[in-house]
Amino acid sequence: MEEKKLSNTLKIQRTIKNLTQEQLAELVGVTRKTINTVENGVYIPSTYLALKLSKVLEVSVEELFQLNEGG
Amino acid sequence: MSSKIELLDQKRKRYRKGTVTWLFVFVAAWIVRSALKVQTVDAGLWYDVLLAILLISSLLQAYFVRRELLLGREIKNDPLVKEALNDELIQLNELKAWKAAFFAVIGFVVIVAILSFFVHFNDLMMLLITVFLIGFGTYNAAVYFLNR
Repeated sequence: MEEKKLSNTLKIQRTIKNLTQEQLAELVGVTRKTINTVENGVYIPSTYLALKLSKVLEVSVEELFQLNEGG
Repeated sequence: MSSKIELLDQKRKRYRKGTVTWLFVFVAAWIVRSALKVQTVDAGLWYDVLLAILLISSLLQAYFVRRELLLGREIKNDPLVKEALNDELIQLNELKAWKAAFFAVIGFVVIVAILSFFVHFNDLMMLLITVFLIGFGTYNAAVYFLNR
């Protein structure tokens, strides 16, 4: 089975909305570190947090998170 | 300007760092003192120095723990802040810290079991306190390092 890697466009979408990590964290009710680790792909958020992020950033979850085929 | 959540998070990390630092000093002094006792070394002055370190580090730990508790009360008063400062990543890190503490305790027990073939441990209470300190210390240190 091929390895799949979760990537995200959180930083891009956040920049489009002109938000800092801290501001986004406050809007979704988490700490800045959580946003930072999600952006860097260190932490995979729960469905609940992913939905909250997509709602605040006004994009679909699929636009925020993608499964990439790994090599 | 930093948000209230960020300010409280920074404060919490600072207090946790203080607690963990002085807990580390306490545990180190405790282990050295216990090791000297097990080997029945007449360490005279060193016992007093280690006892002084234990007392000072206990007082400093108590200070930082009290600050953390007061901060915890402040966090509890605001439901939004409470939710953010106990988010899913923090909860996950606390679970990882429990796991780390569990393995630290298991590791220590295995080491003591092996050592017991060569050294006679006559003070069971001292061993039990050391096991507790290893578990408690590892949990706190892991929470600090994972959330920093």
